[in-house]
This record gives sequence, structure tokens and C-alpha cells, in this order.
Amino acid sequence: MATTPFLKKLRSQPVLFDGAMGSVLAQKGLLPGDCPEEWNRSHPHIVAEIHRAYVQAGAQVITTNSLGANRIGLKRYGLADQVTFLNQSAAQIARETCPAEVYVAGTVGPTGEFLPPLGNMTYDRLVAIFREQIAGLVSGGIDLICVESMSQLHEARAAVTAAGHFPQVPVLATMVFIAGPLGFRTTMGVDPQSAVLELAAAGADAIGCSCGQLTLRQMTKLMGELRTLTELPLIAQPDAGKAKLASGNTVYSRTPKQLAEWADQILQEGATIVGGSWGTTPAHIAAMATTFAPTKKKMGKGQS
Amino acid sequence: MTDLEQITQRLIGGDIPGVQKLAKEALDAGIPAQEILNQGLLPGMNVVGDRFKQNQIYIPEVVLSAKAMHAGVELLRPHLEAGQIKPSATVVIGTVQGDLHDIGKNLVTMMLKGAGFEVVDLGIDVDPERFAEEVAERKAHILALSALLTTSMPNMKKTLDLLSERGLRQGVIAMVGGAPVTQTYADEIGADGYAQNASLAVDRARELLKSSTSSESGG
Repeated sequence: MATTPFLKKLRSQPVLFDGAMGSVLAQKGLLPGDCPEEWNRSHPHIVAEIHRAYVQAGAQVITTNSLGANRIGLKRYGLADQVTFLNQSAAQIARETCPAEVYVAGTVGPTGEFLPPLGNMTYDRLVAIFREQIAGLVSGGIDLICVESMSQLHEARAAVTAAGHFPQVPVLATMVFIAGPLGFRTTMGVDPQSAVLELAAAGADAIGCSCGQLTLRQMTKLMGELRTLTELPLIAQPDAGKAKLASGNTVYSRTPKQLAEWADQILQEGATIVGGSWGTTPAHIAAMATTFAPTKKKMGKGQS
Repeated sequence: MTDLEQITQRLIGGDIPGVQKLAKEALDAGIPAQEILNQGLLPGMNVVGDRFKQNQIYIPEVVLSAKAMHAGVELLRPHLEAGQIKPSATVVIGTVQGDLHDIGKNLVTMMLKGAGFEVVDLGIDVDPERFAEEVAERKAHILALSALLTTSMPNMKKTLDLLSERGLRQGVIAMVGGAPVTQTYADEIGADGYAQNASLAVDRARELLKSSTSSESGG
């Protein structure tokens, strides 16, 4: 594991990430069918405003607006030639908005393509696609890479491997787990053991879970299970719960207070990176930040 | 008969060449194609659907079994008498306007095809106009709408409203699904059915068809 300021910090204390970007953009006027990452060009002030709200809420790491900004994802919007520009500006907007002590994580999400026998994508092509995206993020000034919300192990590994071409930035990786009679699995059937083995071997500096249909209790249990599998720092990014449309507005079932109480538990269970995914807001992060402060002195089990 | 049981097992295992080989052997041995379909292939897809519903298997296994099913049906097709392979119903399916997600919709498509439905997949980001046109043109029995974004969910309602405007709504069963969609939302917008996952969607489609045909014959 390369030693960077971020990783040094991570070894000494838990770190609070920000919450969602996409669902907050939707609240601010992003329409269905619009490309969220295109807003790095057309509405940079709104993207910056969201970053600023998370910094004010107490987030120590801000994630860029670049989840789907790979060649495949952008092609669906006719923007395949904008990969470098949109990723570079995603990183620049975050870097320019955040104070120096706040870290900027470049977000890299799934392409939606499958490898054979399910699809026609190849592993080498995936690595090239992610490398192109990450190069844009790195040139815009990110401090670390966050490979996020993966379901296919090959794809997650391809993204982590691509990040390995930029040794100056550490790489974190999360997959989306669901619970079933066989235990935790992604929708593609990947179990925590396989995820940990492959992603650690590919060079991930931290591993965890984002989103998913897990209850908070299940997320806690998953962290306990991951803790037995690896010494690496663990990431837990729950979403804001089930979305509901109430008189035209989207409402999520998990309150800031619920996530704050849960954050306290999860740190004790051994997670060291906590944040929010889909549906979470600056209010969720602010509530989590208050429970964060006192736990700074006590590290979770398994950390030394 | 054990041959057909083996076809079922190969299909559950997602063994595409195995299903093809055994189906061909069964045909050569003089077993009617219809029997191979009904007692070999279809029971396999039912098992796959049940296991998927219970999270005992995951997307890759389902996709491989569906591909094996498809390969088997293609092999049998020339041997089935015209009309014998009649689809139980025609389904027009798509992800609504403003939404580019298709994994869930593709799974429902595969499961419906596996269960013998004729499925017309319109893809992603489908506007209400296109849904209405296709429902009319294909004389669809079922319209299945998918959305993963809460922001695109209102386009489910717009689609159903347009069908009503065109006088098409009565003639088609409307089903909705996708991660943020709930039974409550389905009721709110006047959809006929909702299913939580791809396998339940097949069960629900069958139930809805059954109740619609029984009410037709009753009135």
C-alpha cells in the first residue's frame, strides 16, 4: 500500500465521506434523461454548491460528479468524446470548492456492460475504458479514487487495476451486496470472500459496500464479516432507504438521525470509512458528523 | 422419460450445448417436440425462477438458463406444428422515458420469454407515444413498464394516461416494476399489476392474464 496523506489519515482515525450526488442533482432540477455528469460543463456552480454543502455538513472526503462518466455511459448521451473533459472538470470543481484539508475522491462506477457469456465486453477493454476515465480525474487533481457500486467482480477488478496505473492515488472499492439464504452476495452472485480476495490482489487500499437493499443491521453484519476476511480499511456507504413518491416529491425512508445512530455502531464494528449513497443529503452527513467526533479516539476492532 | 428429466437438469445448470444435444436425441428417439418443451424445458425454467426469487441463484445463472431455454426452443421450433408453440400472450416491455436503466427490464424480458410469452422489447428511454403505438400495433395483452429512477416514474403514469386517451387502456394489462416502484405507486397510477422482481413478474403476468380472460368470458 502506497503511503499518501489520505492513507496516513485513514490509519489513524475514521473518515467521513459525503452523501449522494445524483439524487441531489435531481432535486436541483436535473431531469430524467439528462446526463448528470454533463452538469460539470453546463451547471458547474450547482455541482460546486452540492460539494460545499457536504463540506459544511462535516464531510472530510468529497466525491466527484463522475459516477457514470466512462466512455460507455457517456455514449448513451452522445457524449463519448467528452470523457476526459467531463472527468477533469468533475475533479476541478471539487478541488476548487473544497478547503485544502478536505480530500477529493474521483468516483468511478459501473459501465452496465457484461463480459461473456452474458455480454460482449472484454476485460482488457474495461481496463482501457476505466483508465481513460481515471486519467481525466487525476489530471483534474483528485487525491484518491473510489470505485463504486460494482456488482460484477471482473468489472470491479478492471477498475481497480486501471487505477493501479496511477500509483500516486490510492484506490477504494465498493460493491453492492444484497442478503439472501446463501449470505451476502451481489446481484451477480459475488460473495464477500471473492470480492475481498480479488480486489485486494488487484491493489485496492480499502474495500466495502455501497447502496444495496440491505437493512442497516445487515450492513453492520456485513462489515463484521468483511472484518474477518481482511485487514484492509472497510467502507460502509448505506443509501437513504426505500424511495417513495409523495405528491410529486421523492421521499426516502431513512432519516438523518437513523443514519447517525447507525454510524456510531458501524465504526465500532470495524468500518473506518463511512458515507452515504443514493438518496442521502447534507442533512444525513451533518447528523453522522456529530456522532463521528467522539468516536475519533476509539478505533474499531481489527485496526492497529 | 428420464431423458426429459435430464433436459430439465441441464437447463437448470445453464448447459446450453447439453440442452441442445439432449433435445436433439429426444427428437431422434421420436418424442414429440411439444412433450420435450412442456416436460423438459418449461419445468426447468420454473425451477430457475423459483430459485432466483429466493436468492438461491443470481443473475448469471438465470441468464445462462434462459439462453439454454432459447437454444432448446429454437431446436424444437421446426418440429412443432404450426400453432402449437403459440405464445401464451404478447407482452410489450420497455424502460420509460428519461430512464436508461435496462438490467431489470432485460431480466423480466428473459424470464417472460422463458415462460413462453412473446415479448416485444422496446429498449430504454421509451416515450409514451411509442408505447401506445406498439401496444396498438402488436395487439399486446400486457404492457410492462420499468423505471429505476424516482424522477422517471411519473412517465409511467403519462404512458398509462396516453393509453386511456387513445382508448387503448381497457384492452391491455398494465404492469409496472423497478427498484423504487411499489404496489402503492402502482395502485396510485392505476396500473393492474406490480411485481418486486423478475420471477414474481412472470407469476403476476400469469395471474393477471387468467383473471382477465375469465372476466372476459364472464361478461
